[in-house]
Amino acid sequence: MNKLKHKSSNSAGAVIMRIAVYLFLTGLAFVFLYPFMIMLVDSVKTYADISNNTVKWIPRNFTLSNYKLALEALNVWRTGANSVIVTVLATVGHMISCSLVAYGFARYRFPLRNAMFAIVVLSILIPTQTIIIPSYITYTNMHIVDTHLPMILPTFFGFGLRGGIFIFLFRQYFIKVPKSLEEAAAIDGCGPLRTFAQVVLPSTGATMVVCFLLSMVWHFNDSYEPSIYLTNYDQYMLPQMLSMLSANLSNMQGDVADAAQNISNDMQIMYHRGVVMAAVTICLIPLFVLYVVMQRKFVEGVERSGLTGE
Amino acid sequence: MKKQKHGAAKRREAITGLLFVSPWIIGLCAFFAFPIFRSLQLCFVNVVNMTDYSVEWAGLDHFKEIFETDTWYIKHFLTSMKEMLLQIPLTNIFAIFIAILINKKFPGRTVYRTIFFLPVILGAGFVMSQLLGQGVQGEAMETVRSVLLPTQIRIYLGPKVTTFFTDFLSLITSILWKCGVQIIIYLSGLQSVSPSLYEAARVDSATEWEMFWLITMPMLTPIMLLNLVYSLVDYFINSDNLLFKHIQNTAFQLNQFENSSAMSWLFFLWAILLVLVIFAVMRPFVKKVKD
Repeated sequence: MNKLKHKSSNSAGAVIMRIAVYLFLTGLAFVFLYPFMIMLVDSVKTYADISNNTVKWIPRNFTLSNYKLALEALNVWRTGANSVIVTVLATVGHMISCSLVAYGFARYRFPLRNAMFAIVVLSILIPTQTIIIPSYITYTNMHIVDTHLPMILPTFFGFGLRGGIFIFLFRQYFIKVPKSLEEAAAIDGCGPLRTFAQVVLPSTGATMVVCFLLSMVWHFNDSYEPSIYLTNYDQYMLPQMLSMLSANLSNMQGDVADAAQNISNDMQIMYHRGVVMAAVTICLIPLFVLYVVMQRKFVEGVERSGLTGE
Repeated sequence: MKKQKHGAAKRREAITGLLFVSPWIIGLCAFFAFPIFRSLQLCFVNVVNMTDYSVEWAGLDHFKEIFETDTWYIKHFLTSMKEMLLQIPLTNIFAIFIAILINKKFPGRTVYRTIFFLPVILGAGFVMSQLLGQGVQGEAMETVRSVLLPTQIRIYLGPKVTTFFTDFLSLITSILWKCGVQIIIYLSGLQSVSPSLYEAARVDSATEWEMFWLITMPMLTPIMLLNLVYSLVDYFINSDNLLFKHIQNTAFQLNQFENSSAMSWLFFLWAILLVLVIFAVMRPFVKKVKD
């Protein structure tokens, strides 16, 4: 545990060691933060500044026009609302269904339990891409293609985007919880479902927080499923919109775009860079707010979840 | 205790359990079983008519086609295997390393933790690939490189060493951004190691190095197993994967759904095989801890 504390008491070498560790961590932190810093800085640069190699961290001409363009190109109020609604509903679905199902797997014995759990693990391993065509057919038969339901509905049944992982994580937790509380509840005449909802679930805080955040983040960032199931412009979600950003920008800018088409692809990337960075920043705002609000709980959650791979 | 239960109680337990799992069973039937069946079926048939989905048996033709006529599949497969063999161990080594560093108690630890968790929250998936598309990764690497290795030294070392160094740094940068979840998992594993073990070792005047190999590592093996499997799965289902792009193109641009399906199932079987290998290799170590 306290390598630093331990040694600092006895030698000068320890001081150097400590400085080295800090330097190393700071270097790592720089690598981690770099993309986000660049993103923020470039989003307020003018095109002239972006194409100028000598301007790196401090923009010469501060501008918010990139944001104005990005907001427009993303159709942000509509798209953002779609994204937030789908993400929240899907996450709620995952939390309810996965904890319930995991509890069943962890606490009760029933025929085919192990076989079913093996299928849960398989469902983690099989990429969405592998089964996307038959899935599409399934949803067409249910008449829910072109709505947001294909992203939301499966999450209430333990499937959906990486649903298996959450079942797995919750199960890991439930297996380790001592049974005494539940037995006491049972003696007091509490039914299984009520025991689960009122006794077991409140104690899952840490695991719940980690799963909640991961589910939010994964759903919010997913562009693959929306791009398959949604064709109506008003239903688009943020990541999907991001991928079409360049095309949208060219449309909006009219004759400027004609000029942009004549220049090479690299140049075009450079040309839109400020706006793309602004758009990415806008997309990250909800996640960032979420992280700031939950950061403390998340870090604690990670510490307390005490995962073991057993 | 379970064995002493008689029939009725056992049956009641089974029914309660099944009730808890029932949402998942419904989900399995509604959303999962049919797509799995269809995509497996596609590997062995030719679709004659797309509208009513009539099929004819094709045997192993599609698999033959993959190996005999598709020049890209094996090529991409080998490339992604090579990449995976390099990435998964490196990801885990870095993740363990960072997890151990930020698990120590030192002033400012919270700040570093917050930063190291950022990529998990903000960098997952599409936003990050948008940033990478802008070449941010190369720039980060460029900055790091010029700090670590000044131009004069680079010229002195010659282009081969420089290229190697550049590639290596670029790899590390991209790995660092991807290992957030792994760091979290290792960190929670480290937290569950009882501090009394370290205290006892310290009383016996064990060095930091010995404690790492004799306490930390053995206690981490179950977590490491989990993490290796997670990294593997994450690598396999990542849509940036070259092989996956090829599979996608086969389906949606060449309209060869049958071939595409066969390819992805081959790939999937390979993934399962690798997971089993990891389990087999890790098992002796994991078991030792439990005893």
